[in-house]
Amino acid sequence: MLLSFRTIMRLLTHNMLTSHVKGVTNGYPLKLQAENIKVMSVDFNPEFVARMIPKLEWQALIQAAESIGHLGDLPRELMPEYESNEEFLKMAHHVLMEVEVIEGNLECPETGRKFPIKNGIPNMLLNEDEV
Amino acid sequence: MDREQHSIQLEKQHVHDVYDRIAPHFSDTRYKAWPQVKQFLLEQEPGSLIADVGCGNGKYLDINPFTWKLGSDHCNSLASIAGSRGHEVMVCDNLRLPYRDNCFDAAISIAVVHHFATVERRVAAIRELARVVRPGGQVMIYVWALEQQHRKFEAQDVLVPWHMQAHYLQSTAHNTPKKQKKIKDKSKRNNHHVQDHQDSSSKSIFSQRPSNNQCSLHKNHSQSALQQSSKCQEPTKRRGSFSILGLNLPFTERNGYHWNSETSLFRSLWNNSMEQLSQGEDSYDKRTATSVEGLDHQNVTNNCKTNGVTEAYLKAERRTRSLDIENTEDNDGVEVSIPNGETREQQNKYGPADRARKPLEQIRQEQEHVRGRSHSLGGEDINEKYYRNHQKKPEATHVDAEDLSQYHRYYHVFREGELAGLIEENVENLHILQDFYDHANWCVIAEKVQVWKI
Repeated sequence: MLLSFRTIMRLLTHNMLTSHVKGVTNGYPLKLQAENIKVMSVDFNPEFVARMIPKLEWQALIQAAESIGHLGDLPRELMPEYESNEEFLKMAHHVLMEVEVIEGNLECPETGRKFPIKNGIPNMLLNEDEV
Repeated sequence: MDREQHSIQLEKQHVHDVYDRIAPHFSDTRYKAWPQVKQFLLEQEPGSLIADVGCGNGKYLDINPFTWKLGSDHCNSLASIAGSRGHEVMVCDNLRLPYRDNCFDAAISIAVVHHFATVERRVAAIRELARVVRPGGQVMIYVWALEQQHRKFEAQDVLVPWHMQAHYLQSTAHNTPKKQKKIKDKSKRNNHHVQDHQDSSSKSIFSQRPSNNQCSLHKNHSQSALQQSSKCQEPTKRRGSFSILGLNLPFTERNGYHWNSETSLFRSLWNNSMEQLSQGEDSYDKRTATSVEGLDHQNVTNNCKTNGVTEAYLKAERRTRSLDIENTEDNDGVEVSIPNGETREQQNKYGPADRARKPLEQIRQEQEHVRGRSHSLGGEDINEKYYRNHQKKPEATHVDAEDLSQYHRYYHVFREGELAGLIEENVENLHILQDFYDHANWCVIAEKVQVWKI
């Protein structure tokens, strides 16, 4: 991966994150609000992307990408045999790896609680009363 | 205040606040990846998603570029340092990981779980690791061991001092990226970079700044100094030679380590240095750790709910601490040799370095005298007797209240079998694959299994 001195959060990471506020049953996916986004070029590795896709919640990825205006032409549904579709994999790669969130918020869909993203680092620590 | 609140307060004061303050200095001493951990990461399939829970400065996030790693740490400063090296990290609590269930292929927790102050919290941390890993995925956990060659812990719950160097006290909380790059490049160029330790009680026999893959010896050290731990870092993977006592010894590559297989002296020096390095990188902590009243020694009533930790386990834990020493293996007093860089499979299952054991019978006789005494430090008296004949006397602990350069981190150091036992008794969806001792750490590799409840 690119070595950079600026920390970033990618949409691949966002796809793994959920709200863990006490009592929340529907904490996934977190709503992504981005105030500062950069798009950087990352080496494309089709096999890597193909292996990542089954680990993702695809709809959550679509929602997140759309909410920050970077969905592009990425299909909303996974088509069969996507692993060999290089064009699709390139689009997936772009959305997953090349869109970088530096400042923003991750909002719990159930409680509205916002977890800030500062300098690319989401702060998911809960307060005492949320635990 | 109840147990939970006590432990939260203890962890805040002696884990989180300390790491916040010492982050840049701490990060500078943490740049070497443990070989076994590295091997675990390299064994993961390309395209794997790996969580590094308690990633610190991110030194394990660099390993295996074919996998995708997410680091997390409670300490913002350390997470920032990891992030500035190009990794994706977040700030969160190990007890409440912000990850959905079953989303990682593997997870590592290196020197983290020992910072939790109660058995329930340690179990909860391990359960979280299991939760976020998919069935079939693996978890690797490293915790500090009570049983060590170069350090004597008087009890299992201890405060370990950290001495901040002067220039870190003056500098800002965050390392600039430039400085980090410089340090990283330097360590890449010369893997023999040895942290410049300023502890005057250090008995290092290797010079502080070896060059060209050599660890040259201080001229003024006597032969007896060879018995002391060295501070030589893991050498690079090139062929070369070490200079010890003015002798140039050739070495060959083996399992990523370099040693002269014909020189047992070197091997023992090497092992000493690795042992020292384990917590090792805590070479500042020469002073004996201070025992602290572990929260597990408070009265736990038979009826109290302990977040699912079995009452049977807690009883066993109390019994183990205060009275018995579980000599499940090696009770014949024979010294067990230090694991010497062989693969995990080759290592003895339980082999702490130079741990000469008293015969079980002798220990039981001694325990008869101890029973009935109050154990506010849970097992301290047992430990003292246990180690008395086999370890040097502990240095007096000097804790200078006015010394702002000294911080204390809380550790619950694990006995042999404790980590594995904790998992077996309380984390039903983790099946232990390997359980071993690695340079002053107890280590477990476990696989997440699907548990079907009928």
